[in-house]
Amino acid sequence: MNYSIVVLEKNDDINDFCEYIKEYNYLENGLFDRLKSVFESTGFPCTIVCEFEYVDKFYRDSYYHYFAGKHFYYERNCKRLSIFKGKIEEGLLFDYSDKNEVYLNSCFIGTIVLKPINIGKIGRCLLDPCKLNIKKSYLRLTSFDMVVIGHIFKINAFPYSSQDSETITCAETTVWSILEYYGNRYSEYKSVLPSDIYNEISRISNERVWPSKGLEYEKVSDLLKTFGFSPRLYAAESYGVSSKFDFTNCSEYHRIFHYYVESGIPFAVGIIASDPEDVGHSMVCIGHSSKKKDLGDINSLDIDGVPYVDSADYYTDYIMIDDNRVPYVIDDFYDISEYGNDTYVDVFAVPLYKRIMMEASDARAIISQLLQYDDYNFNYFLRNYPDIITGKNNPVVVRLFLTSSRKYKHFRAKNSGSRDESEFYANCLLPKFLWVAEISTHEEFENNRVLGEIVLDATFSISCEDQDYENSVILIRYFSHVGYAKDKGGLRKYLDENGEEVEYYINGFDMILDGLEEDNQFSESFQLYVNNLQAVGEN
Amino acid sequence: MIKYTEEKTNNKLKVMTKDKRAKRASALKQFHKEVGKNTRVNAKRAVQSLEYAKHTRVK
Repeated sequence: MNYSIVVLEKNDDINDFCEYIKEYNYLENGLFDRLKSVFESTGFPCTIVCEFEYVDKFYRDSYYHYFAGKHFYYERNCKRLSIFKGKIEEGLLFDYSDKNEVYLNSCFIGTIVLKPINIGKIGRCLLDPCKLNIKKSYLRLTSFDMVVIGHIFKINAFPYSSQDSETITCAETTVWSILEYYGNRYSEYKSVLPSDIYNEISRISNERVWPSKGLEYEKVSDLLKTFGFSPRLYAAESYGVSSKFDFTNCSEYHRIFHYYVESGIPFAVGIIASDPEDVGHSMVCIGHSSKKKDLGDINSLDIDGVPYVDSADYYTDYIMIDDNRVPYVIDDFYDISEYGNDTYVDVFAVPLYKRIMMEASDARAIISQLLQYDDYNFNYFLRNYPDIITGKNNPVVVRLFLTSSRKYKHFRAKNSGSRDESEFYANCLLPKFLWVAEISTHEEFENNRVLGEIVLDATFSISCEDQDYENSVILIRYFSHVGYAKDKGGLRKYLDENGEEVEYYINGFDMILDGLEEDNQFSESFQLYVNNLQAVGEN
Repeated sequence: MIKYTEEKTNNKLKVMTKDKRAKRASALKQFHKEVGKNTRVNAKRAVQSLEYAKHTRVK
């Protein structure tokens, strides 16, 4: 038989299981513990289908291009463990009725590939975090189909693999994991294998590539660019941070990091210890946990007597795919103690879509000025709502994120308070990507409600020269007041102070301001945008 | 043919006084100046980040 079916009833069964699949002696302590942690998070009992001769395309690629050339024998095939929640009777695993397939799919947690090598034995893993016992988090996942003993199962997961330290180190697994995610989710990208990464590094490297010695982060970004992205690099040192201890509470660098997490863009994170001699490590950030900081621990900015806070400052715990640990680990941005007490986020590379010209720090610069812009600032509108009492315990909260106009339109039209509102959002002409700043108060934010939003055109490019930044603004909504720029502007007719018709050249931003002066049928508060990340886990 | 939707047009002209126009122009100038200050810092950081990233080796 090519497979066997095993039920693990309790924690101690994991040792027996490893003995049974003849992996116990080959698993280093670290890997054994990792496997154990995975099973602990699946819970007991769980049913495992073990396939002994599994062709894994990821390992097979490394085998043909590297391991097959070695003197001592390496196997071609891997073992694959398919894990189901609960005790599944053997008969059910061979019942191919529609009803049973739906049931089995609901129990199916995912797969773990065990490679026939000693270092980096845990290969490609696809585990559905919705079915694991993990803390409540908001993640970016994508759908994968897989065939297990003739059944086709569908799960949501983020790809993971450990490093074999010869064909792939953390740098390559980071790139592979990001590409595997994007390639499965979007038709614009394609998944890659270790030899594809090898070929691309060979083009830019001055010496041999395998056995891998890791990569500079510039090259990680270079690879992402080669595979179709328009990446942006953010180094901590350019924000004045050259050691963990340079970080201040609510740092600018962390905010930029969080905006991309909130945007649902999985990105590469390079961490390093403060000692400059140390080599760093790379992982992928795919979401944030639901744990929030207390309001008292967050710095606020005073605008005309009203305190403003950035929603990024609430969150410091992020969900990582780290090839040295189990999938979906949580790391504190300010305290990544897993790799030593002085480790910190040194650089991150965000794989942006080619049409996204505006990056997070520029979007933030525009939003922060718009909120204070003349009589049209948010406070001006807030004064019309005396029931909303802002102050130290209830500051105004601003939440910035990037999203696609498709998802934005769908969400706003679906969650609107009236037909007028839905129709307005459905009819808006929007670019492919948008930067959205939602404005709320702390209390409303806790109830997932917002009081206003500013929408920026993410295809707008910022150059160093002074330019018409206001043309990046597409829509402003403060309570029930909505202003929308249909085009860049031009000559428009107005009435002057004497009631005479005059023509003025106006820009799109003027159109928004004119719109804001009118009341309409829109609701005063609306739903917090939750389309970028998927909620998983229990509180 | 059944037509459900009609183009909604609002022909009522808005009032734009000279004062209002001047106020808007001055606020916009200030807005440009303040945003420009920050975007110049961001552009400098982008160049520096690329340079620093050359020295961060991960393994």
